[in-house]
Amino acid sequence: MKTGQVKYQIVIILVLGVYIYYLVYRLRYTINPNALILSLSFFYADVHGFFSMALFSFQLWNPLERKAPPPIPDLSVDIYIPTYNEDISIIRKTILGCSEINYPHKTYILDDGNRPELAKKAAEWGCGYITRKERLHAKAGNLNHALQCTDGEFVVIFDTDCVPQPDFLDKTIGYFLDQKLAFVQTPHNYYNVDSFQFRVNMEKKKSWTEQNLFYRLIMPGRDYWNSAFFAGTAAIFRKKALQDVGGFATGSITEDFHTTINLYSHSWKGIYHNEVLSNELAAKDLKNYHVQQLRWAEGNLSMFFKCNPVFKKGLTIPQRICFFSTIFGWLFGFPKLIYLIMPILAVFLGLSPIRTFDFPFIWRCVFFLVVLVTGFEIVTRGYGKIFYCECFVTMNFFVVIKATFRSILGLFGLKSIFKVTGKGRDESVSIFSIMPQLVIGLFCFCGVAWGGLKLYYEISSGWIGNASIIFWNGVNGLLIFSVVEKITKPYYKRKDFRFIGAVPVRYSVEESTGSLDGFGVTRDINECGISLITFSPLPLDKKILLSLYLDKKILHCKASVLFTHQTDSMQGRMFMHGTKFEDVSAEEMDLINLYCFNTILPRFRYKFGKKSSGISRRFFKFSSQKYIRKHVRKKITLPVVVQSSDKTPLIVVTNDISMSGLSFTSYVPLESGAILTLKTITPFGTLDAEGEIRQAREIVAGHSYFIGVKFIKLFNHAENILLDITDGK
Amino acid sequence: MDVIKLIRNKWFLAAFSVFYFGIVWIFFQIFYRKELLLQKVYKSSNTPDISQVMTLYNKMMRPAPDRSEFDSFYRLAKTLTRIEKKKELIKVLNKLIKTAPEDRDLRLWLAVELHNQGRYREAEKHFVILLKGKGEK
Repeated sequence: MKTGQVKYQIVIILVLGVYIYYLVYRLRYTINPNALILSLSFFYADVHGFFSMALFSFQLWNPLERKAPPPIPDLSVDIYIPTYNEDISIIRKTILGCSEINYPHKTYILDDGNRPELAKKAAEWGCGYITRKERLHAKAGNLNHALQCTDGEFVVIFDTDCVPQPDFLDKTIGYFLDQKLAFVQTPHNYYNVDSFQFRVNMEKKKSWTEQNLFYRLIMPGRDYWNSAFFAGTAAIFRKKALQDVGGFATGSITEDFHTTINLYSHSWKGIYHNEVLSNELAAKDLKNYHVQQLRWAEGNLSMFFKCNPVFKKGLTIPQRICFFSTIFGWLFGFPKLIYLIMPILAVFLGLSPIRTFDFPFIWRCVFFLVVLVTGFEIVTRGYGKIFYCECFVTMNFFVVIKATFRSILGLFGLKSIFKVTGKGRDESVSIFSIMPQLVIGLFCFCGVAWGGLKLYYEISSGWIGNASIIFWNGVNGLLIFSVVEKITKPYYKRKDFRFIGAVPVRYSVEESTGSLDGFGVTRDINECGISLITFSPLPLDKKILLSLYLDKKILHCKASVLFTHQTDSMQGRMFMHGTKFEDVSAEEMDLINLYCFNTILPRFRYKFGKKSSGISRRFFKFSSQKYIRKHVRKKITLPVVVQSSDKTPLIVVTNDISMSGLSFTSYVPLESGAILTLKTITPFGTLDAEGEIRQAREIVAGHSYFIGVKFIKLFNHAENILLDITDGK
Repeated sequence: MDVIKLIRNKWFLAAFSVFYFGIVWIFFQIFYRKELLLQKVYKSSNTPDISQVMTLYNKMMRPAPDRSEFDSFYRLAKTLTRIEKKKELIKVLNKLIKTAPEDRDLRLWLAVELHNQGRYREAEKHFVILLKGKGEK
């Protein structure tokens, strides 16, 4: 057991202890005989929460962090990309990612849509194309059909939108030295941060997505209990193991979960390698997100009746607990509904779910909630943010309740349909999809007003109880308001997502007064265009020539400026331009795509990755910083030409800059202590300086290095420029 | 019409909020008209209108009060005291004591009123409970 886990385990035990105390108190002293149904429903919701917390804690007991073993040479690997109706441009990116995988393999497109144009493209891209006449058993049937058509010893599954990194097989194939290992699953990493599922703070360099808690923490936790499960994509299988269980499980819409149970019950093992090795698209809009949630919930819940892990032969007790918790986890809709409607009923019916809202109850309730929230923030290690999690639970409760009824109706013949999640699409939010939330939200605010009027006119006795109910309604109302606000937000969404990252760019444009050229940096980029930040405005009606410094490669292309605006930063000397590439060849597009997936995305993950919560930091006293800087570092991206004594100049972008130094991300390793000549292009002129490398560390294996430089000599007006940039701080 | 755009419009939200809470207020006034009237009568420094109080009394005495209506019934009892309607007052107090049997002040009030009305047997029962030092459970 890792020693670092002990503190989390202590917190888990404390939280569960407090939870049990609270439940015992609730049962003994707070059940209201005058409103028994209401009171017991409320108590059920609390008990449900306890079981959820207990199962969650069990899974998080000791998350494993595995180190990838060296790859086993000369194994035959087939990569399957099952598709049905997805856009070919999305498939192209996946194929491109597959073509860059280092380990030898064959790639197959499994087209259930039977599209001749895709067959043609597959031949063009040099990969196999497998199709079938009847679309029996949806994705599982498609995969099983392919298993019969190919002869590799190992099979990798990538969904259509799942773009692998070059080291996918290098990091996973080595585990198969263990002959009883059936599969290795890797995390799903969603990259389209413009999806409503993301919470991104550009200034604080923070990003959060709902799925990370599951893929970065719960799955490694399950791995400890040998209960990691196949999650539909980004996994590699031993074909023999699949054949042993009759292929991918059919007869359920969550073939991944079903197949996993079958494999474990036949004594096969699974491993979870907790390192992002592929990137995929999150559902962009609420409609497609709900389609996905409904399928997962219905499929997993129906496993309770079809292949119940509690009774399935061949599973260990921890496996039964983990798989049962997967099913149980989808029942969260009922307690959530109770928590939402309970204060509404209380205020309108004048019934109290608690016998008396007195001080002994209130302090216990507040103490319990504080412990629960703090404990959750700590044990989820920065992946779980209670408010965001609550928002998603509020967003989905109705869908999972629907899924529960659908899975029960499945017993009586209702057929489940495998609906493909539309990843590339972007559909506007329908008022009907948020109707349950809207109705409950309106009642909550009505409850606040009604309760407030009752208090004002002194109509009911017990102001503490009344005030508590009003507060509860208010919290629920604001939570729903926040959810509706977020999901109806009119984002400026492009058809294709742009990767957030700074790439140095040189531009030139012919003007009547002469040529205008200079350096700029990108704010975001994809194969169609960039958002370019420059220090002087570019003309809208002219073609501009761009040179994109994609680390070791330089891409020259033409572009047109679609819009431009002056930003507020740097005393208004920065200009943002929306640009669209013109006449870019397919090869050049591929080059940009590969750079985006293999370089920009890992760097983004590093910069915007998990940060432990404030509560957690304070709890474990991690808040004390190791380095106390003399000067505040301003996070700004500026192009900089770096010249070391023995290397060719590098054109990179700063991460931050201060009066005493700067940092940048290099694509070649540089040694600590080396002296660099730096030419930084700023809105106030070129900053010439000489600096010494104080920090040099690899941040993304093989191609990205964080370099921290301290200025040792400033030339010309460099000091004045620094004062302008940093405002003298 | 784009409903989503509409519900995000701040002017629509402001207008809707005023309308919505206005409706809530109207419904509240209708739903609690008895209690609100009683409140008005109770707080008024003038002698209450006997017919108005008796109408309220007749309306309120039909259903059995629950705990949330305790305050309203208490106010009714106080108002009945002011207009010297002792018989009705005792009925209200009897209802209240059933709702809150642990309330010693209320029980004493009822016992004294019963005694003053010459209903000694009934008064004695309550005095005994009070002297035993605990409320009826």
